[in-house]
Amino acid sequence: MNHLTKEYVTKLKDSLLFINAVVIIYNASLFLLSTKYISVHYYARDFLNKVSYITRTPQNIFFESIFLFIIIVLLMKLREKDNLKMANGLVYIEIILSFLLIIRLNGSYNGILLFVFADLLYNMRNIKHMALLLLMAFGLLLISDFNILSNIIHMPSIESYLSFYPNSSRTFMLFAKNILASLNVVVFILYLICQVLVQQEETKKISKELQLASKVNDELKTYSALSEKMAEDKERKRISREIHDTLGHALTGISAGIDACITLIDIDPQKSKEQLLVISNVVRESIKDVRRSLYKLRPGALDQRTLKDGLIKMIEEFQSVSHLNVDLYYEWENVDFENTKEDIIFRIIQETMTNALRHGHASHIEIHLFDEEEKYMIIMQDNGSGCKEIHYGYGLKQMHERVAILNGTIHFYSEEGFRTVVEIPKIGGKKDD
Amino acid sequence: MTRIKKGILTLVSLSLVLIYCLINDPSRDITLTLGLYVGSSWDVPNGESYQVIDQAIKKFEKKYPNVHFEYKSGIIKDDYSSWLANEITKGTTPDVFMVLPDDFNTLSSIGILKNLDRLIKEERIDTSLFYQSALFAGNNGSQYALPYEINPTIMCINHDLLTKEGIAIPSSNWTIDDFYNISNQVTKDTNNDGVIDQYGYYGFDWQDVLDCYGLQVFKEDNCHLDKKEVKEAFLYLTKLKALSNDYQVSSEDFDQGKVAFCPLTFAQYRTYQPYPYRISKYTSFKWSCISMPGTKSNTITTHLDTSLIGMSSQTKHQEIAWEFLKMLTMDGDIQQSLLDNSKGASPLKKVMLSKKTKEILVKDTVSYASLDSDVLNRILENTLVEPKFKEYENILEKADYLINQSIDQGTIDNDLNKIQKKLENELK
Repeated sequence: MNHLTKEYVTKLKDSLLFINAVVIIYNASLFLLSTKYISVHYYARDFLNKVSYITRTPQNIFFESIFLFIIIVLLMKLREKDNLKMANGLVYIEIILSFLLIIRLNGSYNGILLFVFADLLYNMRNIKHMALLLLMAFGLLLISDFNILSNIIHMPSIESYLSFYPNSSRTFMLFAKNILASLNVVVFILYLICQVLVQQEETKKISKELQLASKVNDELKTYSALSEKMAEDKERKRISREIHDTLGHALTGISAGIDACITLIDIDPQKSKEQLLVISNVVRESIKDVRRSLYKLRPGALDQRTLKDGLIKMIEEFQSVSHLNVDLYYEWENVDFENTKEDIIFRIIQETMTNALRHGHASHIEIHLFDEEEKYMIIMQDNGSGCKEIHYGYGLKQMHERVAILNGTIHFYSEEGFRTVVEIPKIGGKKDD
Repeated sequence: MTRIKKGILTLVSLSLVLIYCLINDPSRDITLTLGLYVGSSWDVPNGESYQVIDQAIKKFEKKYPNVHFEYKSGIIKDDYSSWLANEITKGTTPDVFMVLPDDFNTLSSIGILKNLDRLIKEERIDTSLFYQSALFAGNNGSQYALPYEINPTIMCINHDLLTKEGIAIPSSNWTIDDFYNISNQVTKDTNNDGVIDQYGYYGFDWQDVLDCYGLQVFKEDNCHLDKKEVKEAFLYLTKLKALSNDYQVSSEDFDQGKVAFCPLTFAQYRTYQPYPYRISKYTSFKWSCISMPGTKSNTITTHLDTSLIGMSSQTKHQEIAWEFLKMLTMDGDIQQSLLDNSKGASPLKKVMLSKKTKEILVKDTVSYASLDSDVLNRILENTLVEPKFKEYENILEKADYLINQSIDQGTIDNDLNKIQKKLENELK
C-alpha cells in the first residue's frame, strides 16, 4: 500500500464535496419542481391533506439550502488556513449549519453531516475536544433521520411531495435520491479507510525517522565527548607550555642567579647586591609573565571585559542555543573584583545555568547579584524540576571548592525548582586576595 | 481582539441596527394580501360579496394610511379551497384569509394558520365577546382562527298545519319525544284516497338526530358508532321514518304546506323568508322557528356552522395582519354591517343583542311569529361543538354515504358494527 498517499484522501474528500453538492441541489429541486407539478395539476388540496406540515415556500427551501451549503464549504476552506485561532469555533458553526441545512431540506438528506465529519478528520489542526465534537456530530446524525426528526420539528416529508407523480416517475426520483445518498455513504467509508491507512503509514514512517534520529544523536554524543577530551588535552599542553616557557625559564634563571650570589656574597658583596637586583627584576618580570599566562587562561567571555558585560554576553550566547530564558539582575555596579574573583563568580554562574538546563530542564532562570552590608550575594532560582535529594557530583563539588577559595559559602535548595545561594564575605574575601 | 475583528463586529451590529430600523419603519408602505371568496358562506344567494370587506379595508386604511390591500376577486366558494391550497403550496399564502369549515382542521394542523393564543393572551382579549362554540370552531388545541360569521341550524315549524290539527306550538325546550308525537299525529291521509299526504318532517337526517341526542361519534383515532346511545338514536330515526311508510318526503311537499317540521339554517331562514321565498307569494301558511329538539339529558342541540378568518403563520406583517383580523371579527360596526349585508349571524354576542339586529330580524319577518333575537341568542348560547382533527371532514363524508345507504336499506341496526370497522380503518 505504498502508493496510498494523502493525495487519495484529498481526492476522496473532494468527491464527497461534489456528491453532497449534487444531492443538495437535487433534493432542493425536487421540492421546487414537485410544487410546480402539484400546482399545475390542481393537486394542491389533496397535497395539503397528505402533508403533515408545511411552512416554508419551495423557493425558500431551494435557495436557503444551497446558500447554507455554500457557507459550510466556505467555512471549511477558511479552516484550512494555518494558525487560525477560531478554527475550533468554526467547527461548531459548521455542525450547526449542516443541521440547519438538514431541517431546511425537510429531513430528506442527512449525509451532509458525514461530509462535515470527513472534513473534520481531514483537517484536525487547532481542534480541541475532538471526542465531544464527534459525539455531537453523530448524535445529530442519529436524530436527523426524517422519521425521528419530524417528531421533534414539524416538517413535510419529501414522499408527500412526490406522491402525486405517476408511479414510474416517482420510483425513479426516489431511486435517484436514495442512490445518491448511498453513494455519499460509500465514498465516506472509502474515505475513512483511506484516512486510517494513510495515518498508519505516517506513524510507521515517523517511528522509522525517530530511530534514525536517535542513532545520529548517539553518534553526536560520542563525537562531542571526543572533542571535549581533545580540547582538554590541548588546554593541558598549552598550560604546560606556558609554565615551561615562563615560570620554568624564569625559575631556572633565578636559581642560577641565586647560586651565583651565594658564591659572590663573601667575595664581592657589592657585586652580589647588583646580582640580586638583577634577580629581583627577573622575578618581577616572571610575575608579569605568570600574570600574562593566567590572563590567557581566563574565560573567553571575560577577556577584555567587565564581569557584567561578560555575563551578559555569556547569557546571550546561552539563550541563543537553548530555550532557557534568563533574567539577570546585576546590582554590583560599584564593585570592582580581582580578575580571579571575577573568574570564579563567572564560572559558578555558568555552571549553575548549565545545571538548570541539563538536570532541571528549566525554561527560566533568575540570577540576582547584589550586596549586603558584610557580604556579596548571588541568588539563582530556576523553574526546573529540581531534585528530591541533592547529589553532590563533580560540578557541585567544584563549585564548593571555588567558593571556598573566596572564603565564601554556597547553599543549594530544591523546592519549586532549584535555588543556588552564594555568599562572599567582603572583608574576608579581600583579605585573602 | 484584533482590529479587523472589531471592525467586522461593528459593521455587523451596524447593519443589524439598520435592518431593524428598516423593518420597523412605521411609515413604510405595507401591502396585505387577502384570501376571499365571492358569495355567501352558506350557499344562499348573496349579491353584496365584498361590501363588508371593502368597508373594513376603508376603515383600516384610515387608521393605517400606509397599509394597502390586495385580493383576488371572483373566486367562488367551491373553487376557494383548491385556490387557497394552491397558493399555500406555491408559498404565496395570503396574509389574512377566510377558512372554510372543511379546511380548518387541515390548515391548522399543518402549520399554515398562525397560532393566535399568544396574541390573544398578550392583548388580554376578552374571548367571552364571542359565542363560545363559534370561537371554538377556530380552536384546534390552540386558537388558530376567529369566527367571522355563524350559521345555526334551527327547526322550522308549519304554524298553520299544527293549528289545523289542534296541536300547541312546541316551546324551545321541547324534546325528540314531542317531535315524534307531533309527527305521528300529523302524518295522515287527509283526503282519504288511501295515500298519506301530510307528513311530520322533511330533511331531518342522521346527523341531526345525533345532534339532538348530543352524541359525538368521531374522535381523532376511533369512532363510537357501537355505543348504546347511538343505536338508540338510529332506532329513533328508523321509527320516525316508518311514520310516512318510507315515503321520501320532498321539499315540494314542504313548500305546499304538507309538512310540519323542517330543519333550516339561519341563513336559509333569512334568505327564503319563508322558505323558499316563492312560498310566501304562492302559499299562505305561516311558520316560525325554534331550536332543535333535545332529550331529557341533553338540551344543547343546535348545530353551528362557522366561517372563520385566520392569518398565515408566514406573514411578514404579523402585527398589521392581526389588527385587520381583529377588525373583521371583533369590530362591532363591521360585524353589524356584515349581519346587515350577509345572511348569517354574527359570532359577537353584543351584535346579536343590539337594537339594530332586533330591527333587522323584525324587518326580515313578513310572516307570523318571527325569530325573536332573544330566542336566537339562547339558541346560539347552546350550540354544539364539532370535533377537530385533520381527517374529520373526510371521515364525515364517508360516514354520511355509508349510513344513508344503510338507513335507506333499513339495515342500520345490523350495519353499525360494519360501518364502525370501515371508518376506524380509514382513521388509522
